[in-house]
Amino acid sequence: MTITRTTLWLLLLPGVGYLVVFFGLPLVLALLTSLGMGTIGTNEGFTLRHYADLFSDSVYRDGIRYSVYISVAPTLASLAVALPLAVVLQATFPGKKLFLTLYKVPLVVPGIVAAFIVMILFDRGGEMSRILKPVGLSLPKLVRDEWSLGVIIALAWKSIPFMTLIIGGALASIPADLAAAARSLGANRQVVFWQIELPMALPGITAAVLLVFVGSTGAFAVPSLLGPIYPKPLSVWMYEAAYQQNDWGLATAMGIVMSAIACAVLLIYYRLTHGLNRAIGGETR
Amino acid sequence: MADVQIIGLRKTFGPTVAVDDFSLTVAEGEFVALLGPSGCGKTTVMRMIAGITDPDQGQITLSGQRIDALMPERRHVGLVFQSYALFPHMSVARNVAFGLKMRRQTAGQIAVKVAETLALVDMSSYAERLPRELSGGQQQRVALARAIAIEPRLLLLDEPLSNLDAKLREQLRDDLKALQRRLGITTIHVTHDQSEAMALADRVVVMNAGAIVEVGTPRDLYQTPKTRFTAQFLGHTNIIPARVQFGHMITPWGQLLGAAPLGAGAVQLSVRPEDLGLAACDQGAGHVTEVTFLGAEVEHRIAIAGLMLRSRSSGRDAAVHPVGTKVVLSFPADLHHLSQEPAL
Repeated sequence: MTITRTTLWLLLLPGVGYLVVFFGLPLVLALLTSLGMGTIGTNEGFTLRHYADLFSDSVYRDGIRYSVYISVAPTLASLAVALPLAVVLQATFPGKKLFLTLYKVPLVVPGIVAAFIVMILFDRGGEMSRILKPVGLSLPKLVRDEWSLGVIIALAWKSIPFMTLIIGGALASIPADLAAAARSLGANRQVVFWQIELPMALPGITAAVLLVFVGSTGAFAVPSLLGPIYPKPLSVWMYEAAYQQNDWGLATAMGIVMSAIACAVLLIYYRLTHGLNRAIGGETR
Repeated sequence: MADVQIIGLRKTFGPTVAVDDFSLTVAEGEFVALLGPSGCGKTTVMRMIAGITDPDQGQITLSGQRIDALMPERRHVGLVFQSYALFPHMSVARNVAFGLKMRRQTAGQIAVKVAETLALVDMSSYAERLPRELSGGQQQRVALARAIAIEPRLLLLDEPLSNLDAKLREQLRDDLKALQRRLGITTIHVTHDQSEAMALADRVVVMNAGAIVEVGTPRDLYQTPKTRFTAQFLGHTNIIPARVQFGHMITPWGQLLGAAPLGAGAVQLSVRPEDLGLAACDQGAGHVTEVTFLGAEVEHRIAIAGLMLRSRSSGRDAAVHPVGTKVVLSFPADLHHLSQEPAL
């Protein structure tokens, strides 16, 4: 029996239809709104005015730059902690079970709560400075500071368990025989990690990096609570444009720019992993 | 001089004793098979020799050097796994070169050695392929090449042929044996397949429940096993209890056999199905319950005095007795009894 074109479309409908209705459609509506032809706000006919406003205003340009900064920095910070942690968790040690439960706690703590925790701990006059004061130590400014360290700490704190989970899974799926074979051929623990385990876990690592990056790009609560007064990330400007200025055209334009950044990262990711897979022969994702 | 000397090796996992008091000496260039059912501890022994598992007790000496406390990378032991364990992100050539790079050989030396070793296992034309682009048999050849490229003092093979289909297994088995003879490399082969162990090994170590049951050449173990376990694990056998009267052995159905070993009151005989003769006779004590045609052989099952025995005969003219035929049995002149088994 050959499947006719109609049957094929019918079979694809549940999956493709879902994507079109709940993912494609909102994106198209947002795009239209940003081009002045929207259904929300005023319909003024095709215009690139909102994008022009967005890119000509230095406040928004800084916003874009800042959004990228608070996506990249927490991602790198998380990776720096999560990768060694995932490696350590492959081994068995006393209390591992308890640790495995505890380290996942940040996964279920909402971002805004994480932001408040950082604020209570690290703000001037917070718990940390109270504890450190008698010892004669003082913390640098970590909340609403120039380098957004508080934002980075809070976002990284949220994403480290998530990253560790994915990278740990990737490491755990490497058969133990491979390490044993490499050891017998003369490789020590470090060589096994850098030459066997890391290349093989790379698809998992890049996936984790990507997901954390995209998650941080849209972060709203954490940068608005812990970030500096200026610059503000695009997500915060977007909220202000939509709800305080009622400028839906500008708000959706910002949304589209943020989606474009995420898509660009996604494309680079596919390029990179494709190249890597060619080079290391891992599985394609 | 003994090449490998293992003394009193012991390993427990929690309450389970995986290996207990395992001692073995392997001569230089010898091919020894560790044979036993799964879970008998043979793989644990191999992993302790390789250094992947730490023994609780015991010593391992290789060419006069204690190795049981050394890191695996310092033992200079080649390893081949059932799962091949090739590095999936490296080409065949890079897999084989891995151990040589770890030994800091020059690029020139490595290239020569890789080409040489791949030629040995007949894989030269696959040097640039990735492992996943190879068949199971080819992958195992590469794994073997990778292990012997470093010219190990000892080669450990952990069920290397178990993942291959029957035809390929035989082919690779013959190649493996030829290669081992040619290189003269001391080899310990872990397997649960008795025919593989017998075909490959100079000596077979039969293991059960973490301990050595019997050690011997394949021929000795097959023809004159000392224990019931060995007799039954290597091929098929009939275990027949016999009592001794006036210096002669008598079967439960009253058949008089040859002279009994001195001082024995009763013995257990192990008679291979191919050694048990069969003739139709109306006064026979046994009768045929099943006839199976196996191609090269015909197998009869005979019920006699509460025992169920097998007899196999081969050749075109092998007689076939229909089910129900009354039969008498005939035994070979040199009857073998299990000397390490208590009499039943």
